[in-house]
Amino acid sequence: MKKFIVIVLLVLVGLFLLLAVSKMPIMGDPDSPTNAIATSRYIAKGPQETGCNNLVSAIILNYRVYDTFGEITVIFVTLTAALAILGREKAGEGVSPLKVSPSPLVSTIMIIYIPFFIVFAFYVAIHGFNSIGGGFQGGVILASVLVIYALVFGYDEAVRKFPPKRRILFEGLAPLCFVVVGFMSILAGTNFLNLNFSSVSHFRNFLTLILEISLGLTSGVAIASLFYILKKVERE
Amino acid sequence: MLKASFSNLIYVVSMILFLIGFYAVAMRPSLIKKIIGINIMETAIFLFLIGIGNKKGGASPLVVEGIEKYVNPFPQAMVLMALVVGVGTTALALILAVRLFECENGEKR
Repeated sequence: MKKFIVIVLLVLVGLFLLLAVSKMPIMGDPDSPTNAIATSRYIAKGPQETGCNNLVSAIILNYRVYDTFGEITVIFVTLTAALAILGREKAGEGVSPLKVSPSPLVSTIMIIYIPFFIVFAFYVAIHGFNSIGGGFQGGVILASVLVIYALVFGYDEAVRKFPPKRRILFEGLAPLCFVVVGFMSILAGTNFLNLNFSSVSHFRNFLTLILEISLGLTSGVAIASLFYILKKVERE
Repeated sequence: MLKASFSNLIYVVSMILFLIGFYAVAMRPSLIKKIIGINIMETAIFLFLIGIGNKKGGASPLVVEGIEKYVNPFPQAMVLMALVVGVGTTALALILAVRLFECENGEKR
């Protein structure tokens, strides 16, 4: 009975969606409303106004930096809620040896590769200014380093290497940087988080770079922390 | 209606993905599968947004001298944000599922 109701509902929703799709402008049309109005400004003036050749970075870090601020707050609140529900793992407590010791081949390769992974994460985060990449992408690569360390060398070793005491600084870094930069722009006499308050374009690029790096560090370390919190439960 | 939909096939694909995710959320008893269903619905929305921003023959939104036509960078930026928020919602849902599982098994913490 429930299945019947759900399928009727699905067909109804599908019909309405199909009706909406049939009225939409043809995909790839340069004159459709979404492509015509705000975008021409972003494309024509983006590099001069923001200093980023990568237009996605220009939108995230300059035109719509409010959205990014709200979003990094979402990540922070998620981490806070996870800590409130499950609690932080404790460093050095209940250290149990691995059931299977890591294969020497895998661990040696990981020891050689991990510095390159971290350098690549920072490269992607910083170079997102002028090329493909950006803060979040670099942050996810950084998170993958922390996760793969826990998978190869065991959870306890990873918690000992990256204890919560060290991670907590990075988890709050980006909201802090955004607030500080925002109030700097208020003190300079413009709106909150308006990065164009100074006439020196290098200073604006410097602020954008700081925001981008803090965004990468915070999103990466927060995602890794979420993994560590969930992994703690599995062991208990 | 069908003929107009065929020129916008990517929207129809995202619609079908959305309905698959909806079905998983509504019908599957397992919490993990419901979370996977929510993720499939998110993916459908991302596909839809990226499809909206497409322009025929446009280059990727990376300003290079000599290229005039770029795809719309705005939906891509919004999808980038939605991806990170999606990670947050998925993680929170998983953590709530873990806590619920613990409560049902009578474990105390």
